[in-house]
Amino acid sequence: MRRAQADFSGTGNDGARPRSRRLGNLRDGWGRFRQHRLALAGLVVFVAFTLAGLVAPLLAPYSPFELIGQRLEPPSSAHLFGTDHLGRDVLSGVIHGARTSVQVGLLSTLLSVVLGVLVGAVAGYYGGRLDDLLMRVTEVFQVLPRFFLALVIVAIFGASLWGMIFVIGILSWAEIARLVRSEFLTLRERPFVVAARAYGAGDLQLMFREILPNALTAVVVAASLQVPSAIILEAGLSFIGAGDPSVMSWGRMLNNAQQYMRQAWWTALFPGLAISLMAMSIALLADGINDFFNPRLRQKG
Amino acid sequence: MLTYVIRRTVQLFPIIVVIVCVNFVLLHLAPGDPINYLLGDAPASQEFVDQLRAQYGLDRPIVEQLFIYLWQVVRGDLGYSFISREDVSTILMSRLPATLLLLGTQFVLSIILGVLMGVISAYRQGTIVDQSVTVLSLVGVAVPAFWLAQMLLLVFSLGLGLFPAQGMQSLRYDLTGIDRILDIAHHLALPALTLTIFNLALIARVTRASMVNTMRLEFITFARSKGVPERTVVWSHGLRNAMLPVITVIGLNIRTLIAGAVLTETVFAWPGVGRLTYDAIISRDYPVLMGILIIIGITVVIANILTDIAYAYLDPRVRLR
Amino acid sequence: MPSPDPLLQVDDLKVHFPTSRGVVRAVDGVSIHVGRGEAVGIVGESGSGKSMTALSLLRLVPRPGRIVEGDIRLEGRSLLDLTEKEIRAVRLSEIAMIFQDAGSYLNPIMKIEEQIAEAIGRRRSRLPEDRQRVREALRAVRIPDPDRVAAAYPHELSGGMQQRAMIASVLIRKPKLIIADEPTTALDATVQYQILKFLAALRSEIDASLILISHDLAVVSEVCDRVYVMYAGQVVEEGLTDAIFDEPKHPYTRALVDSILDPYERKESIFALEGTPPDMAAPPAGCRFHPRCPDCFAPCAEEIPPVVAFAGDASARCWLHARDVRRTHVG
Repeated sequence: MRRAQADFSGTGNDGARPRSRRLGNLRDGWGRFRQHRLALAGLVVFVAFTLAGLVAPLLAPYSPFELIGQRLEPPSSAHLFGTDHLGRDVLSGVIHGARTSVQVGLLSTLLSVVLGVLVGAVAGYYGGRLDDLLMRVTEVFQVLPRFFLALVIVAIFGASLWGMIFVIGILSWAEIARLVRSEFLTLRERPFVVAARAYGAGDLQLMFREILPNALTAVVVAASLQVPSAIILEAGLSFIGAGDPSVMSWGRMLNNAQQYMRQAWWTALFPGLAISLMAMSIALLADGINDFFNPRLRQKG
Repeated sequence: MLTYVIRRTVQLFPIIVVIVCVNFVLLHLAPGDPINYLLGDAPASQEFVDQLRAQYGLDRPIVEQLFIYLWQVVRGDLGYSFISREDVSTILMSRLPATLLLLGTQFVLSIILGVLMGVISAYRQGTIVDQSVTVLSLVGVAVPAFWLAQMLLLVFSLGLGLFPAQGMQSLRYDLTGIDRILDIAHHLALPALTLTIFNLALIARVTRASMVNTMRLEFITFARSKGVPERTVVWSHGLRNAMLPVITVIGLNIRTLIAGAVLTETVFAWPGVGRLTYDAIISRDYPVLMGILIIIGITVVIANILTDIAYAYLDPRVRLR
Repeated sequence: MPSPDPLLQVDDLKVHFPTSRGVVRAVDGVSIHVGRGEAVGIVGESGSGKSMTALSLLRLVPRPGRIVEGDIRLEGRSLLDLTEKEIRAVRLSEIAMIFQDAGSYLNPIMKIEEQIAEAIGRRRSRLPEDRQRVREALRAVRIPDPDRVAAAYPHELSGGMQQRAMIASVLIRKPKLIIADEPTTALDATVQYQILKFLAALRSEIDASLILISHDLAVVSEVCDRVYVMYAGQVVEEGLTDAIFDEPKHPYTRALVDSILDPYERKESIFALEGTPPDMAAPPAGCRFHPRCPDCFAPCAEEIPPVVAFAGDASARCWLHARDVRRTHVG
């Protein structure tokens, strides 16, 4: 007599720890990721920008602030992207701008992830009145006009790169908090958590050693979408004149370009193209990461 | 429904209070004397400064100052700009209509086009409409609104000469009636196009995803099984349900949209809040900046309440919660 | 077995789904017939193809599935030849379907009243006679407060009420054929019984035929005169309800009958069918039931058994019978 086989295909609802299942899928996921050519392209472009930013002083042909050429020269062999209204090389500006954008994007997102995870974990884990209170606060931060608030803060306290990173970070955690909270609410009741608690695990250990690792994939996906948003926010702030004048920023380059649009289209084209390419590459990468963790079924309408 | 509206208003209203308080806190946390920020760069003698200090109650206890400030805002007094020599409220009210015109136009256009494109691309996957929605949504996420504005300006205005590059009206002629409306529309075209592309990208993408999911749901099968015509199934059953997440997303995106509008205005010198912001930063007109923050805050809160109402109108389940 | 003047005649129906793992033959050569005023049951596990068969009758097979072969005739008219508009007319007035878990099948943001009125094409009507018809239909399904329920939304009703509202949408159009796909599965036991009784009464009230689909043979036997047993996309047995219970001819049917727990009968052991339903993208060779069949022998793994007819409007698709009774047609 053959033994009855049980059907374990499912979404982890049988109470088994999701972690082990996920590790097993890693190799599958990598294969899928490699097939996702757009995501790969995104990864390549993003890494290129990041590296360019890291080694900017070495890579850029000139110093971005140096008045090296004729004003408003069109692209040429000496200045691949032309020069701006002060005679500065646009290509060097773009390369150095990558450094600013990468810094702002990654660091502010890191800050908002830390804040968001903390708030979301506490809210989702403890529930009740604490959850209500935290969610009210979260809603406030979600509706607050980020851009204008950042503007006023920067206008009053002065613009600095780190200041901007900080401000963008503390104004962007709300979405991640919501996400983490909802993951915690679901995962909190799973058998593996109940079992760990029965074994005497404390709250903190449960939150950060048991539940959080399983919520991480959702967080990673959300965070990867925050990065381009932060980059564009910084660009907008710099564009309207609230950026740090001592660092080269794509946004400010576009601000300068605004007056000379008629004569020098290249001063507006290249910095903006850089922002778009960078943000696009991260968005495609985020899509790939999402597919890596949550494979989409090939659906037809 | 009414209780729901009241409830949401009560829940969202504190945000305005928070913004006002934040303004206050920033002013007092900032390095230096708050009076410097209120005055900005406007030249002032010491007596004037002292007089102002007394007038603003800056020598009173902090908490009292906060309440004075809150009370002022409630009464519509957003302060005075010494640089522009006008009440901040007056300045803002003169600029707000232009911004609202721009926002309103793009909103109508992007909702209509976005939903249409979303439904069509969900129903006919793989077609031109479907592919453009995919491309557009990538653009919407990655391309900054103000740069798109600049590129459109370059190509369609400076390059092809099809649209004016600046302002809301031609100053050369004194137009009235229908001519004036057409002239404004002509100036409105590019800024509105920029913002429409953005909002449309988001709306179309979410509508498409939502429609694909919704049309798969069981109640669609039931509706079809009753012999309901397919068009009714798609619009009255499918879209009405599919719109719910779209409305939510629109609500979440309002603040980004307004920021984008403001930046786009500076590119086209559209006489709205955007240009005002730009000038205020250059001239360090803090009262105006803080006033803008409050007004935008109020706008966002009102827009969110309206979005919630639209959602509750469609989905009765929410009203009871 | 075709009967002389059936209301519904389905011949050799095949519904296929192309998937990434190959073609899933959800319905693979199913033939059934339903007479006027008859109640017929279709019993099978999930994945046996019973729901898909039902959906085919209304041409509601979800994409990417397609009806690839076979014929469906309603009163002699082939339903597969009809245009989109004509099949909608059929859905409107001739065949009506109710589904499992009414809560999911009702539009959550539309009033009950509108969803019932829709069944007669009068969703937006403000005419008093139409509103009256809706309320009458609600009263006919024994809903105590028709005005309140009509104005309500699905989530405001209990599961049983939702199911009744769905039945009301059938009642109001007085179809010739009612298809009920697991109408009671999502409901509590007490409510289940009520709904079943109700369906039985309904049938005679509006003089309609009924196809009742369930995984539960006990449920089907309450209401139906004849039963089809399906497994893995094929009909494996057909017969009058009592005959199926007294003398099941197919081992699968026997397993189903044996597994019905009777509180009055003490059993030595509880029979449980082993194994799992087959992967419909790659079903077992030969008889699809053979890996789980206690009576499996030589030909079972090699060839699909033919349908063997028996007296009394019965048949079975099994090699056990093909040896001694003459074949009627090869499966």
